[in-house]
Amino acid sequence: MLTGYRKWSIIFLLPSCLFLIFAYVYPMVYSFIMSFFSYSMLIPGAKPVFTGINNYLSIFNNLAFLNSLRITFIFSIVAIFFQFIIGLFLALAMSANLRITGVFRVFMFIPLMIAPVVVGILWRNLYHASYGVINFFISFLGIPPQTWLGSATQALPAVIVVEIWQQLPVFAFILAAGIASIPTELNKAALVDGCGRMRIFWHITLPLLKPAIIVAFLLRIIDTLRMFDIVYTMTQGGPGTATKFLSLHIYEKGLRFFDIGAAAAQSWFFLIIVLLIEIYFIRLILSRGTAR
Amino acid sequence: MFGLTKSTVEKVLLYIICTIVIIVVVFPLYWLIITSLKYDIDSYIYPPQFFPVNITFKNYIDILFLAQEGNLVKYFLNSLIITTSTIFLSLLFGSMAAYSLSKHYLSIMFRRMMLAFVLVIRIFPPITTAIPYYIILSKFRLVDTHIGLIISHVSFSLPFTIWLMIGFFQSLPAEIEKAATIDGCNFWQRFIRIVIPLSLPGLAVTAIFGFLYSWNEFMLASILTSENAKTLPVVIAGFISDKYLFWGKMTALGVLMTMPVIIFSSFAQRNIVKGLTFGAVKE
Amino acid sequence: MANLVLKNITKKFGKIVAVNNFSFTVNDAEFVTLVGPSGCGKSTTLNIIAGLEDPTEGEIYIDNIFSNNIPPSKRDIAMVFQSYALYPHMRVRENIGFGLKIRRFDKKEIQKRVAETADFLGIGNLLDRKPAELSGGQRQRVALGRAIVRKPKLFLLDEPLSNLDAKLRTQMRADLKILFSDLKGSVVYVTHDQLEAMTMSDILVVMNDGIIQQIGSSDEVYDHPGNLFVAGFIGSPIMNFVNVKIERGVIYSDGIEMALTKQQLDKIATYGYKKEYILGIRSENVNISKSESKIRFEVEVVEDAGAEYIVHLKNGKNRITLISEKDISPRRGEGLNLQFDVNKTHLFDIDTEVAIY
Ligand SMILES: Nc1ncnc2c1ncn2[C@@H]1O[C@H](COP(=O)(O)OP(=O)(O)O)[C@@H](O)[C@H]1O
Ligand SMILES: [Mg+2]
Repeated sequence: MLTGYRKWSIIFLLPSCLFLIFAYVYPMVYSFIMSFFSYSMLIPGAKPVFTGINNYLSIFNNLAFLNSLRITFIFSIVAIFFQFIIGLFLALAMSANLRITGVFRVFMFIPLMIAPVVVGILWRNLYHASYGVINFFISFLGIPPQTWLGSATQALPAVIVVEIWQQLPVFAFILAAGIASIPTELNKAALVDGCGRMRIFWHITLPLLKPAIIVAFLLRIIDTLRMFDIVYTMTQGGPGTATKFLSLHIYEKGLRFFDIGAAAAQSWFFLIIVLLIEIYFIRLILSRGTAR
Repeated sequence: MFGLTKSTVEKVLLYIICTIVIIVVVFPLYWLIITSLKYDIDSYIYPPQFFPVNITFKNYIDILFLAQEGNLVKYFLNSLIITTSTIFLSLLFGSMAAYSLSKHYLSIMFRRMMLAFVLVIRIFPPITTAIPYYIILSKFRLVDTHIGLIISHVSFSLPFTIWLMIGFFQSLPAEIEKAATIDGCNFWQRFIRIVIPLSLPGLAVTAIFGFLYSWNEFMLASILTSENAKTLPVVIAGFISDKYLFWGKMTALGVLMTMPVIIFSSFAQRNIVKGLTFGAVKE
Repeated sequence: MANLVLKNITKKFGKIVAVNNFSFTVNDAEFVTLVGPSGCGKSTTLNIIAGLEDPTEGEIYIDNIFSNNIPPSKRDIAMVFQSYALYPHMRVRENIGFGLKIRRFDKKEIQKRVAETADFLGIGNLLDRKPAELSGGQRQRVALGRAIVRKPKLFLLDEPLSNLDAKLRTQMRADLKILFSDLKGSVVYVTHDQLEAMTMSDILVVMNDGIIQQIGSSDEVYDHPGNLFVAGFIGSPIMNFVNVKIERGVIYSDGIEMALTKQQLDKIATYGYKKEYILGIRSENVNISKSESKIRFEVEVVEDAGAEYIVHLKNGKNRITLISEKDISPRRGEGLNLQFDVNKTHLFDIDTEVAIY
């Protein structure tokens, strides 16, 4: 009887597996093979030439790649840090259950609804050096107009701000749900025990939120490291290479210069870094699971 | 601040903070809308016009009917076809896979391996597969077709769907499925007649996220399509040139793109929270 | 309608042995109850009969046909679950008719049978409601309707009454008994409630830890429990147990001195002598004696159960209860002379817990 079910179970898995094999496994195997070849599709009739691990070795003296790696990580770390701090704050505010927090919950989603390409264009307008709204606002603080996206030093922070703006709801809602799942009796008991608000926060709320925080970090790291759409329309990696994120760098390597072998090696390198980071976080989550 | 009673000062403070955040969150959307209603000339002036003086629908008419940028209706339909197909296929196949993995008919080792595989796929930065996938598609002559893009969008959505639906299926009461088996259902009938109807809330969550993703996705769409299967995000990005920025047209198209999402998801705000917070907290 | 034979069924979940070498027979139109504490493997046994689980070992015969490999849908059985397991998204009508629909009965036939069944169960007016709009008792009836509408050979009921409140449960107990004797169906009924088992069934199968402890009619398991577990599990209040020694045909323990009958002594002799035994006697077989007696206990607590008193007594290590009419009023600390109905006592091996007589 159960053998029939086993057959069905396999059949149910098949479509998903075929999709994932065609869209992920096959390309990644192809890419893995190509990463050992020098192959430029720009030259008509060119055949791939086997070059061993050359493509990988050249990553380490490829300054443009290393620069992109650096930018991507700065972006990821800074953006997530602020999203976490602000998100935690907003989550606490939302847990207050005032009338305005209801309104707040509704509006918080809006940034997530807007396509990243549109977000990029929109903020490009807001940041504009000569007629942007942001320069207009800061003029009230006595700050002279800035070039923002035109400046090698300001462009990355400017993109970070946009990322924080758009993805804020993720942290805020995950943490709010985490806070909501803390039994209020705990807080009351602590208050009765004479704990102050700050001590409740540090000793009860935060430790109990830890699992939610880890998951939120995991999701945000996956997302920020792949940053592409917003910068594509906002800065196109510029000025110079100030906002050339890894995805953008590999995109250009592969699809503007058609240097397939190098792009493949860089992709694999990128993927392995991401995997290592994520495995670290997943193990954190799993160890929490077994400890329970 | 911790779900306990607040003093008045705290309440006032909360109101002020919330108001500021709401303004920061909403202002860009407002700006998107009013820019689309301005003549381009009014977008270039400083100080900026917060309340447009000359309201116009010229930008909308331009992009919808004057078709300088190609046939917008066609691109809109492309987006619609690709998004709905993505949602349908990823929901169907994803929940099938999730159902199979949430039962114990296959060995635990095998199911763990599949789950790990799915999890790893979820982590892949899309650019790492995009280029080789493009080359493979070109071998199958599937570049710039709906199918090519749909396959990649479905594959992207599957891991999320599978993880979310496994949790959902495991929380269904086991006795109901037993009852269905006794009533004569085979595996497929049990799935489609009992399990799926009971899982509609979970499916709604995944549908919304599938919609958000596929409708707004740019990178794969821009690599895998050029004209025939081009979607709206690619069209918008195409407006950007070094010389001149058509703020009006770009923002008008941005508004047209954003409205369906806001309408679609306003029906399901609660579900969005579920999707965002999925797995992070035990419910 | 059908008979069922289980032969040496064993079911393991990893290292847990849920059902251990389980054999029994259900004859045509017989009402058999599996009774035992929760976790003893009752549901697992029922699932195996239904085909929802494969046994690790053993054979199932339905109507003398080897059925291990027959899928649940082809076994011609119906099952009622503790949670009722109604389909929440279907109306009562569709819930009852679902099994027929899946089996491709034609629409008219389904309609006719659903209406018949609903009338039979007195839920004809509820057919267009969803399960969420029904009370517990009504859901119970719908679940029954879903089972009987297909006129199966064999009914399997897994604690069908345990989600009802006490009053409704008593009534449904009677209703079910009438229902299944009318239907003349073979029934395997599962409950952890010994009273339910006693009142409803032709045959009880008392289980513990996946092992059958005793099979028999209500009278048999009540009057002649096969071992200490059955003696303690069946009956309320729980049977009194005291550790005793036997010397020259007389039982001794704290506060107890009682001569055994010849028959009883013969049984002990054939069984073989032990240093110590466990004596069991039900509360209703302990009487207060007006005259001096060799059994003396002191009153600990008196519970007023309405129609009678339940008197808790103590002497040394021994504690027993008795049920008394309300015409006396024992007080705490009072010493009582008692009399045991010696023919209604039970003696168990203290090590193997097997009944000696
Ligand atoms: N699917 C399963 N996996 C592992 N153990 C199970 C499973 N089903 C039941 N068990 C175990 O088998 C034993 C008997 O369970 P069950 O038949 O449900 O008991 P009952 O119905 O008598 O309360 C229990 O110890 C239970 O934990
Ligand atoms: Mg049970």
